[in-house]
Amino acid sequence: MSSADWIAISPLIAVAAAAVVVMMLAAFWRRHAIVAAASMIGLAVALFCVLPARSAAPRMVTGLLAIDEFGLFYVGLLLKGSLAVAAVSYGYLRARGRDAEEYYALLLTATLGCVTLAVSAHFVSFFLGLEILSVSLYALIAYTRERARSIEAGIKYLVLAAGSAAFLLFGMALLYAEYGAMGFAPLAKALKASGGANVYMLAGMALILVGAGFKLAAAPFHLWTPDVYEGAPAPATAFVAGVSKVAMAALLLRFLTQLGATDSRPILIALSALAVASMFAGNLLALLQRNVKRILAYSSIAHIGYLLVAFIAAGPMGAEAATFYLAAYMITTLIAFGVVAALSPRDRDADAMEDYQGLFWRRPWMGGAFVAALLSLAGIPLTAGFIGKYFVVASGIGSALWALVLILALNSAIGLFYYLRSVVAVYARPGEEAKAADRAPGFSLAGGVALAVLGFSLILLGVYPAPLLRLIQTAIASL
Amino acid sequence: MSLLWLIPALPLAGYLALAFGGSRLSRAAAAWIGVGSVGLSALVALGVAAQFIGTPPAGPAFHQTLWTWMSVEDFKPAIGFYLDAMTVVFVLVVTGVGFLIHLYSVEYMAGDEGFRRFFAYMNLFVASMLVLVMADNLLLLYLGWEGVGLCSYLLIGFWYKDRVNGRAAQKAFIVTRVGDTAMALGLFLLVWQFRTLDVQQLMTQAREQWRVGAGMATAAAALLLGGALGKSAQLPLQTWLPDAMAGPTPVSALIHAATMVTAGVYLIARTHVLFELAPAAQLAVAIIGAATLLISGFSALAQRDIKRVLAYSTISQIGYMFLALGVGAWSAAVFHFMTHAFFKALLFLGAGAVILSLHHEQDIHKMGGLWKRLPLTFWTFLAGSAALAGLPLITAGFYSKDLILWSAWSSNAGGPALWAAGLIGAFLTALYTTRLVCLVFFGEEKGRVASKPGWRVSAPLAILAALSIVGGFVETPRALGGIRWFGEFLRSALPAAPGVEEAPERMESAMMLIASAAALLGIVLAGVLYLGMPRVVEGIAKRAWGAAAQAFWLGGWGFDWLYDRLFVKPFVWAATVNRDDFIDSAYNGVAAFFSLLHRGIIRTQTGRVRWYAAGVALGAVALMAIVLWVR
Amino acid sequence: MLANTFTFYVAGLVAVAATALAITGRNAVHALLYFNVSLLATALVFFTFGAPFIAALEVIIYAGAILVLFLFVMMMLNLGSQASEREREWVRPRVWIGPGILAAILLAQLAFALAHGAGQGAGQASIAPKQIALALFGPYVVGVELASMLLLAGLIGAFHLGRREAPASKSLEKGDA
Repeated sequence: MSSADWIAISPLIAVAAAAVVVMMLAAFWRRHAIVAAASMIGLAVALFCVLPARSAAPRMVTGLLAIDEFGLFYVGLLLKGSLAVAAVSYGYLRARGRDAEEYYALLLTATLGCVTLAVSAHFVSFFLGLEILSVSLYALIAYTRERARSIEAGIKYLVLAAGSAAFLLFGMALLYAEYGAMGFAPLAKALKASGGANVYMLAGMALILVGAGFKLAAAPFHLWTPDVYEGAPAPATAFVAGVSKVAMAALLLRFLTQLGATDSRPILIALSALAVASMFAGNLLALLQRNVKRILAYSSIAHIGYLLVAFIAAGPMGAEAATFYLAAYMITTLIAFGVVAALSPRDRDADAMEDYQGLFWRRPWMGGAFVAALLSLAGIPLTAGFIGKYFVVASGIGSALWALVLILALNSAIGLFYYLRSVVAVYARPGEEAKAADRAPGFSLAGGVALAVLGFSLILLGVYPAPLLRLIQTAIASL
Repeated sequence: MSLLWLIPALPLAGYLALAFGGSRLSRAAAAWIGVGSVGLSALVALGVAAQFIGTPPAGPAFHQTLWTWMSVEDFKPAIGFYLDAMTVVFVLVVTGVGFLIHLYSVEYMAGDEGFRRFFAYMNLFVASMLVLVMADNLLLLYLGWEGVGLCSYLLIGFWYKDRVNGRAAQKAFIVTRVGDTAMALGLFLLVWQFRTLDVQQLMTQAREQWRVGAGMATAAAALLLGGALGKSAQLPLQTWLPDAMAGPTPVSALIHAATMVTAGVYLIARTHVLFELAPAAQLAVAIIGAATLLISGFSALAQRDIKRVLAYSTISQIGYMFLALGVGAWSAAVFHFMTHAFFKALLFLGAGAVILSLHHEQDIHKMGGLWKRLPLTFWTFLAGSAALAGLPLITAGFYSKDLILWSAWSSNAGGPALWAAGLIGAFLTALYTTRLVCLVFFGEEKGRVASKPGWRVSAPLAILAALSIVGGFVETPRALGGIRWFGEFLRSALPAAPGVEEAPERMESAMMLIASAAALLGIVLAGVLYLGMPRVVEGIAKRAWGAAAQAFWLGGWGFDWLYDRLFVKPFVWAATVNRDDFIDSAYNGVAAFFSLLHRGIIRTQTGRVRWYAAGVALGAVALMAIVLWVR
Repeated sequence: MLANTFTFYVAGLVAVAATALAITGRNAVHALLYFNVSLLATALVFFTFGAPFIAALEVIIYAGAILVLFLFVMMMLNLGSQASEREREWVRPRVWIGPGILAAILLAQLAFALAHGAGQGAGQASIAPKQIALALFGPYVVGVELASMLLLAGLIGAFHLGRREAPASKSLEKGDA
């Protein structure tokens, strides 16, 4: 490895080093604030390392990692998301009192898994990144082990993620068996040389889609989502929903684009089936739900459906739309779960609709941020979510995917119902009970700053998306 | 020029600060933010205007595009501002008069519990109005258009605890919505035809692609006219404005007299190319203007509420502006807009001072003899009234109205009938204005003056009074110096009325004398009737025909009655009959259908891992089947 | 060649059968025994593929170290009054006869394969440990490092979740300091 290689993967090294440092800190000096600060500094350093890495890009590091504009864009996005999760976690864990230190080490390893996925161009790094992420998530989801729900969620995720990883691995094996290559670029070359799709290729791709679909929580691989979201501590849910899915989607985008799978009709139809199933399943499941974390879980399923429409839309337009959508989705999701985390009392998570009754009148800023997130999820103008959905629809229309766009529109209408119902709750007059229990025990200065920055970005992207779009265009051009 | 964006941004920032600062702000801080933001905006506007006049831009206008909101093929809505001569006039009036009214409001609203809310809405209004007049594309223009409508609604219903005010606000919103719908259709039509949102491009393309009298041009112009009629309270959508007086008086001054209601004038002047291409629509503008100014002039004569007199007078004066637009005298309309903003804001503010000092008494028959008690208010009100009545030579209103009458006579699109209507209107204006002054300030004292206005009320009155006098000396008839500053300044944006310049000067002077005579006659007649012989007035009112006419005019020619029978009653009846809404049942059916689906699909969430794992496996099988089967 | 194919299929069948029995078995020790056999069968599959090194690792690490550790832990956790009774239960033939038969099949397979000179790979050359080492620390060095982070994540997670709840120890620590 040359020195340029080292510079190119410096963000990954920084995250890995931060994980080790935080673990050592936690071993010798159990002070929550210091450990939290160290992990946030580590993430910030990694974020800073993206700049020199960009100057070294584009570059393949040992055939496993592709450090290019696309990968680094996602690395930056994921690191920012992770930083926000760390900030939000601090207040939440402080309210719970003890054993908070390992959390940050796990968060950092999970982040390492995510950024690895974002720059993976090889089955080995793909699978290892995915497993680092999954193993860290098992523990993060079950982190509040004094709660049975949390443990249950962790075990469910463990069993199902391991199962789906087996499908993924089998898919990879089929492709390798047929083409004798595991790197995306060599694989694409072999695929082209063999003259297009055959049974092994299609079956392998379908199995890889199963594994990816599980991580993305696309229907019909979504069944774990509500249980895990509900059981996991809120900041961990934020990570699962907001950050890990972005990483998986980034990898899928690279994989499908590089292999030219978006030109293959069977794959497109498979993706369409996933998209349609996800949209309907997510929105219909959320319809009468009263648990806020479950609503957000179902909503995230639907959003993956919308996202897949952009995947199906051909060309750079679709990839740009998908990337913008992911950025908007990440910001929105982090705000929503960040508010949940901040409001959660010591013994449970604030996931009942009643916890949000009249939130706006009790805590106008937090209520405002929550409403902004809901409106963004619903795709109301002047929020990032609107622009994201707009681009997805535009890319769909550009590729003449009329049926998918129609289904998307129908589902957006269904989605409005439960988003607006939550908004109504936030604006309702608070009951006396809610007033008496007016506390935000999980709130911390760091979390507040993170929420403020996220909320500001949410509106900024809705009003002035041009700079981000330019960045995304250069990123997609490098793919 | 690069500071252009600051003009709307400052009031918007003020609004955001007030809206989010909420009750944490002290009253003083709220006043500073509310007034200061508009004041700063006015200063920036002055600087920009000075630069515009000093070093004019290369083309007709200065263009500033902040950013493109989104860009999808032809659809590229930009956040961009367009500043030509007409915009300069509108921006100066909106910020300048707006600032004075804000200052006045600090004192007027001092005791109100909704003090901060008031300034938040007012700032939002100023920001929206500025966006409306500065927008370079239809989307932004529409944003401003709806923004001012929203603020108007919020401020009419400002004292929402009284049901009447809420109803007035609803009425204003619903009636203007009729016009807005037409306007939105017009905008869609334009975008659909020309595939661009940029106003100037639209106009250029319209001129290139449509011939004069083309059906499409007429349709577009007529639809836009519909929007203008609603916003500017012209026939047949004028009924909301008198009721809009339910809002605080500064609101009436700013929104329902000086600025927002003239948005229709702005819209037509901005799209004058379309109206030139559609002579039929333009003629409709002139006829509607003439009819409106007459009808509301008669109504003003019979009103008892001081603010309603002024409201009908506003409708009537905007009628003049429409008349000017209808005969192609675009700059005359903008001229009258400017002078009207000065004197009508002044009159409303003066009326507010009177109302405040008389413990919220609004009935002019319960006023009287106030000239001794409120000297400053009296003299400034007198100046405003003189301008409204068109007192010859020394008032701004005279010059602008005279220009409109002369254009109506001499323009190729005008004619004697339109001119005669305007002349009768001028007479009526003088009559009801003098009646108002006589009843309020002269005669015996009927109410007790409780308080005298402070400097924050007096200063705006004095400044506006001065402007009402001197504001007209920027454009005078040839016999009186022939100053053409205003018209020439606007020439880069608005063409001259065809035929007006060519008409003989002798004719112009004669017309001026006739118009002056009509105004003076009205003033003298009202003075004699209401000061000298009040018995005669009472006598007329007691006669059957007199009482009938008064009742008819008091009710605004029965439009409210008619609309109540024609639209409201049938609608309410239909609503009562259709209480369970047969259309709604379809929606309920949809909702029920989806909740049924929900109940079905929610069974899949069993919480059992084995079932979830089976789901993954089944999904994998299904996916494999799809992929291999489609192949 | 034929011997190789034959060995592969039989070993594969044994692996599937053993795994199925491991999943369905109600007795934990029983299931673990089947699982062990399944791993051994997998090792044999690797062997027929021409990967003797991986086959050896499979036997040593999975079958040898990990599963035996599992078994020990499971037995130790069951120490108690009825432990000896239960252990007597475990050594009954009913428990070990199944895994025993499957393991015997595998042994026979191995002997058969070795006797017929199998293990030279199903078509390709057998891969020596040196080649594996060169690959691991050459093109796949990043993968090795990532794998180490994966283990670290697993370690931290297991440490946290497996830690004994000790509210008192916290105060003790403070008292000492």
